[in-house]
Amino acid sequence: MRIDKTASGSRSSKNTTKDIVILALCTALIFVQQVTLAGLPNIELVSLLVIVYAKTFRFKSLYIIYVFAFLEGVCYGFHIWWISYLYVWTILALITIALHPLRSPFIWAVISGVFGLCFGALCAIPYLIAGGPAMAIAYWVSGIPFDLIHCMSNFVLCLLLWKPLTTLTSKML
Amino acid sequence: MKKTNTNNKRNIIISIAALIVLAAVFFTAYQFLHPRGAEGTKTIHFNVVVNNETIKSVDIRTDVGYLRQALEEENLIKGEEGAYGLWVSTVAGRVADSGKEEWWALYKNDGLSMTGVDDTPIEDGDRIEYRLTVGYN
Repeated sequence: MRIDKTASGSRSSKNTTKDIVILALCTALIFVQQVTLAGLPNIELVSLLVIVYAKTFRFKSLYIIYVFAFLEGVCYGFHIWWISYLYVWTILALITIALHPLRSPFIWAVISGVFGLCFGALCAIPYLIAGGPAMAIAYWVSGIPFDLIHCMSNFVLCLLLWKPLTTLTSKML
Repeated sequence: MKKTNTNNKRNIIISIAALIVLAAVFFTAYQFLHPRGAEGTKTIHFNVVVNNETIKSVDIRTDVGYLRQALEEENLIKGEEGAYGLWVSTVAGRVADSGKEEWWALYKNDGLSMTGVDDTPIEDGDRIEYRLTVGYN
């Protein structure tokens, strides 16, 4: 992937064929692993992959995120939960882009863990609009045990897979 | 260099400690906020709707706090255990045909339940309804 550093430190590039192929492969990987791990309660690699993609590809990772969200809708249906997919992963990607100089896998594991913990609260926003505060709080509270699992699994998976995944994606550049 | 390493270690420890505190806050919030079933004997009204027709309507008297136990006591539901609790496939003898994308939507007091049958608390006078719904999309 051709990436040119600008004076401001941000990265910009034209989408070459190679870029498109790499982004498509990354999208396929994130979607396939989500479907494969769907039977496990909130144990997933989406958060970690979004962080790794955003750290590596910066704003181009948003292409992956939105194609992934679209595929999720096609696969599982465009229900109210799907609306949250339009912003939760973007929030994680933007946080990652803002904090990209950080190098410690522990810090990234904590960021991933916090995101897992807050996932239910973030996904409750469409329910707040659709059904009011009572519905949103009921949705969030009922999911807290799964958010705690999400937090722990995100933390552990990030610690275990950070180095191999970041090494692998950086080789794509 | 040594100072940077010390700072990094300190940042890591603070970050992990903050995560643990945040998780504890969420756990405490759950303990205080998650709905519990009312104690004592209660009567709930139970409906099963298929194709906009009520195929079963019954009042259930029970002492249990959660919906699953109340309905299982009356042999009204069956299903498969999953990671998120019981996935209800049969209600009042009617099996949802997954090949036709049929599934049972749970309503409590006319609103779509935000909890599964395992975690839905019941109180005296609650109206519970299962509606056979077609289509996952």
